[in-house]
Amino acid sequence: MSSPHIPADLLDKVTDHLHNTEDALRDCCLVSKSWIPRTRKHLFAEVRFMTGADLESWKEIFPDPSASPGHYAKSLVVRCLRAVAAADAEAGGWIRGFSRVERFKLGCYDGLRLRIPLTPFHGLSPVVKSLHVEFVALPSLQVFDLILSLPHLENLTVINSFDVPTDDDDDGDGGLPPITQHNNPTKFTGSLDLLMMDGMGPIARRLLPVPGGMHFRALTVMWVHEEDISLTRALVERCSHTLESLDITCDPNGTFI
Amino acid sequence: MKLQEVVLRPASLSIKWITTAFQITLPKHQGIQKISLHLHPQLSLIDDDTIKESESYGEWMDLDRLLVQFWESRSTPPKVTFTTPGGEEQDTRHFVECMLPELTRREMIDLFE
Repeated sequence: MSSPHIPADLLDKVTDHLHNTEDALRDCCLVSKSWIPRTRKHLFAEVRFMTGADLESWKEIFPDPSASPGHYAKSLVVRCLRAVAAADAEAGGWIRGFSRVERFKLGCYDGLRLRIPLTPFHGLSPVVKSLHVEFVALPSLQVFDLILSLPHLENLTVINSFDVPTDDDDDGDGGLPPITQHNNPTKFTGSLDLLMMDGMGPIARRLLPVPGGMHFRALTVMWVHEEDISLTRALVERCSHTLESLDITCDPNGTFI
Repeated sequence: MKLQEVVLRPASLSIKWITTAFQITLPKHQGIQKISLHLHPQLSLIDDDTIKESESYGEWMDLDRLLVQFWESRSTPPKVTFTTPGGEEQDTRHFVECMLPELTRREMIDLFE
């Protein structure tokens, strides 16, 4: 008996309908090879590397980065920076396998000064629209270079417990060191959230003069220093033609006002 | 000037910073349609005597006057809302009556969105 033919658009409807039922999608993978790409689109829509063990499992199951389902991922979460950076160096651009990521979440909670370069993540995917960066100790210059390497970035969230300047954060005379220039200015058309326990200066001061300007529609900030007030004023003015919503929290222990 | 909504989240009774936030936004952004105050729910549990004896009480009275003035100055007054996310409705109502008396009396403030 010949195998029945199911039209492609009907197959798409079936897998789309099952998009949030992982077990059913896994079963679909076993039906036929032709079903695999359709189910992988949903199964790997979000990929999380929370620990080095997560990464090791991935590499074991998908030893060939070019054939991995990383390119199905629309959302990527990386918490084990050191392991991912090592994997990228080892495989010569392993992270590039995640070429269609639109939402990128990067975090490090070890509280130590970060010695891992963020350059492997530069230009991670040409379609990254949202970047969420969360650090205990923020390597602000590295983060800022990462931000500018994503030309289609619309939404930016930076959260940190305290700022730890990297060695090259200060050029010695109180000014900011030069940033890496990219050909296409970043868009910045969505939301900007700066919830930084040691003040938003390290990111906001660098954002204000970016070429191409900022066009954020929503701004969420936390005030912990007097400087945060003037930076908020400057951000509001810089985005005055697009800004629709301003959300402010003030440090409850703040005595600066 | 497109700014339509300002959200302020007091996490302590001291709110001098809110006046500063309004100084940044209100004069230049006449199109503001909504001002939302989200208070930490624990603050709504503080008793009246403690509140009125605190240094911050005067700051709340200033805020009350400022919001009334802004509301009255506008041909289309903004919606002013006050919430205590996760808090009790009765506590919230009592807190607002005590801390923003003129706004409450003149029914210029909505307690829940």
